[in-house]
Amino acid sequence: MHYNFVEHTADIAVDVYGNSLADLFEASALAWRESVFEEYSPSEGESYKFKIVKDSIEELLVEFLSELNYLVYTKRLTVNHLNELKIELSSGLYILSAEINVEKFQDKKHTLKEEIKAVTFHQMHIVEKDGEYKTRIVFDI
Amino acid sequence: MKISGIEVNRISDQIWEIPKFGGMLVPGRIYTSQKMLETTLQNDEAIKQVVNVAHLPGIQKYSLAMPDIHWGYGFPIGGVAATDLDEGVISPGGVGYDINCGVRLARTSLTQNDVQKRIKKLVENLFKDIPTGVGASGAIRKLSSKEIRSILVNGSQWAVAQGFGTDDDITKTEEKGKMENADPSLLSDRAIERGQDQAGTLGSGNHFLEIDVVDEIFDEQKAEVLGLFKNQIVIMIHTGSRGLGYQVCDDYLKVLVKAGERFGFNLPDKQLACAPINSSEGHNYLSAMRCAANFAWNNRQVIMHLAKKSLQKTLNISESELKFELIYDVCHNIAKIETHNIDGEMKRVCVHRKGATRAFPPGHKDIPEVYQSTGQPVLIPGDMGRYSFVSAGTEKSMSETFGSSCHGAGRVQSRHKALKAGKGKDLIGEMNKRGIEIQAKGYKTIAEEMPNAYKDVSEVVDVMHLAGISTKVAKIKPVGVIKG
Repeated sequence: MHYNFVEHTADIAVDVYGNSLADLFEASALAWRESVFEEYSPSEGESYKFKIVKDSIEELLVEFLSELNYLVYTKRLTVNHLNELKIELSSGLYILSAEINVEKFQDKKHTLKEEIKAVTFHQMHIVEKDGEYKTRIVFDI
Repeated sequence: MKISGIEVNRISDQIWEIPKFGGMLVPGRIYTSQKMLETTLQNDEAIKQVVNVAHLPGIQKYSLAMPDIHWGYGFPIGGVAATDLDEGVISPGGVGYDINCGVRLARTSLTQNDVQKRIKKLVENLFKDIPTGVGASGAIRKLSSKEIRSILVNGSQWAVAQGFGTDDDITKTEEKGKMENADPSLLSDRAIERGQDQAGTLGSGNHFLEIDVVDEIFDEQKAEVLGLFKNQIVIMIHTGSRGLGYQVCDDYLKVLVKAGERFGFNLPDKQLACAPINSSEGHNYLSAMRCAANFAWNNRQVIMHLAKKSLQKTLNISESELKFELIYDVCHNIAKIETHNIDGEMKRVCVHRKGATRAFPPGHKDIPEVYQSTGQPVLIPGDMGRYSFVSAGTEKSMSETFGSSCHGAGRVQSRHKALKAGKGKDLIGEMNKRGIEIQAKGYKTIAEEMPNAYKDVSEVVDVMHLAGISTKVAKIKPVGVIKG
């Protein structure tokens, strides 16, 4: 997996790539974290599990990153790492199950650099070519 | 001529029209100069977004853009569109994530000479007294859910009832700081949770509080009515509905994407998600949006009160000596039901203003008694190093732009490029050389917000002035800035 930030006049745009959908989502989470934190020293925290069901893969990605946004800006939790990330397609619905490691913000250890207002649908098209998934994500800041 | 691959015809020096093509229901009209059209709009997605908005069901007359047009989500920033109440739609993309982001300008009895030596201290104390930055919280005591819900219904009238302001502030706020038909039960728990401790906080990005000096008066008569005079100290506040508003937009975009599919809308951009105004989805979004708008007005009201107290404390002067009074408060991200002349018929329409300011004319029933002779004050902030403008709405704005004008400068340089340009430089020193004291949470914000990153707002304001949509009253220059 990998990601590259691309020029955007007012906001943050990033192209993300992965070898599977789960891989693409993980790369997206890493790009999101790099956009959000100035200072970041992860350590072992608590487990936080969530599940999202959506009928399109783009909506699933927006909702997944929005959940991380909520944890940071409202719950004041960091997102240390993904313990588990599973994406399934069942009866036309995309189901994401995630277990992540989070911890409470601590001064000096964690500093925010941006307030991401929202994860947008703008230019988001998840496509697969030769076994590689890719999409652009634009964060409104 | 072709701009960004799209045919654009000159109507006048300030008006450029995109003729209808494809699925456009109305033509597009951009208020701008030839220079800005050929420079900032060339190779920009914004012009395509004017075309996209023209596809919205029920759109009336034109898909409009103000001269500060730039790339947004769904609508361009600077986009204005009115839709029919029976056959038209409402779109969160036509309001934006920061619902009721807006500007408030307050005057004082002070002149630049009175405070010149205290500017540094004033800025330091304002920075301490008003929470700024990413996720800023705790301007006032933590509010209960019941109190938050009361703010969502009562807007800045809640703050005034709590002692954070006067009845005069309410009179001089658009919508009197309170949009009716705002139902807090239509907000998600997450939206309320996100806003719970953010009342009275400035936030980050391009939001600011400035100490400004009145630098030039263009219209003496109107300036006098607004209580503005040369060298006067005024305070400008720019912020919105913070996390609560972002969450309302986010929540309802998802609802309206589904509604659009249900109603069979085939729109060129998912961020243009919309629903008929008279559907339950459209009605619920409008009501939730009004709650967020009320939250924002309350926010600016609380910040104004905190600023007044801070100035009094630093200068050790009384309320009657300071005479800190609101001139006006405008929102520039909103959707409103208003009456406009559509092809000779007075009609109720839903006006979306996304990065556009209401600019109602003299004599309009929805502007305060005191401004009946001048027209509504239109507050247009520039970048933090140059100047901002106060204009006034005209009759022409009603006939041409659904009573709307521009809202600011608009970025021309990405944050990344601005950061790179500022690397290794003493940016605070550069601002000091311009005669401006600044305090911000970090160097990054200062670098990203440096004047070069923005268009010259005077070019934007002049287009609207020359087009006769909003005429210039005064120019103000910053001497002190606090940023998130």
